[in-house]
Amino acid sequence: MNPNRRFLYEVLNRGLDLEMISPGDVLAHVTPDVLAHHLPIALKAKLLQASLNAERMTPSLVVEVVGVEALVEHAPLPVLWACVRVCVARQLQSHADDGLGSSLGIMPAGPAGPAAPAPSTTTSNGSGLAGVPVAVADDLQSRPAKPSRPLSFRPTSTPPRVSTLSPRSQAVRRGPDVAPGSAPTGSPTGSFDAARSEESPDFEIVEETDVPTRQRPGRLVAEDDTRPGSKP
Amino acid sequence: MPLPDSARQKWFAHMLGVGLDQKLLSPSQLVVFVTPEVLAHHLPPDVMSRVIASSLAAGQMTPDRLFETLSPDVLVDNVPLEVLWRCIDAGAERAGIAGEKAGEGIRS
Repeated sequence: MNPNRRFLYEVLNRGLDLEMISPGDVLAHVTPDVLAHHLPIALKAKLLQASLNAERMTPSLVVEVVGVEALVEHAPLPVLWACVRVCVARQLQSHADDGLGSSLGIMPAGPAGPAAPAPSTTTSNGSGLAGVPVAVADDLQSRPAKPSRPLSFRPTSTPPRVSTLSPRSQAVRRGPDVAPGSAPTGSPTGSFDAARSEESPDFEIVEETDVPTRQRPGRLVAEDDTRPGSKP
Repeated sequence: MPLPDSARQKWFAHMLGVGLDQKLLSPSQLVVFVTPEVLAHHLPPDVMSRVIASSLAAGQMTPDRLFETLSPDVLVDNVPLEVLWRCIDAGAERAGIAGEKAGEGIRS
């Protein structure tokens, strides 16, 4: 086995052992079409026979029957490497999601790159997988910021309802707690003098007069109403 | 449920180790990505101390000597995995594993 295939075999085999790669990941790249085109006849026959015996064909079965070594031996290396890339990207994203990747600090952009974080989200072959954590960061930055103000203070929301207070209603200011028998600190009349107040007053309604409301039209009685019944 | 970090690190360490064994990666290529600045930012004092002591004892500091001390296990423990992955991926591209485009080379 040549060094490149040996390397891929080790990466895939260990990735499957450690569950970094699933058989489904492998089959997502080493598709039935790839298998059909690249597996030798003997291996294809073995796969069909094993599936018939098991009465099923799953990614696990395919990987188990064909074997990683044969996959690496026969499948195109770029296809297998694309599988590794996807799984690594997932792991790096998961790593970042765990909060462990937040302290990246220094990341060179490439062989000649400085120590600054790489802004690119694509690899040299355009797959975009090697830069997933950067893409995640970009995605986070592109999301609109949530308003910090509560809903009730947003300009588009309905203004808070203010109850009607009759002009004849009286309000007194709640002064600080006073000892029984001592004079209250408010106005002698009990009315609040707002002009002299330096702090925002705290009101207490002591009398409230109902504001006259219009009668509903249906209850109005016309002068020429001739219907039976008492009139107001 | 997130995977245990140790499994992820084991896989990366294995990729690095095999990459070095199979000559897809070399210490001089590693140091292009795992730069002195990266090391200075991420190596804890005890590991940095070992690097310096080893180089002082040998009277030289070369990428080979550096990555003798900084084994794949030590690297994955201390250097951001993103940095290591870029190095591995670049090695795969250099070796022609990645190809120009994943999917090329499929015989029709």
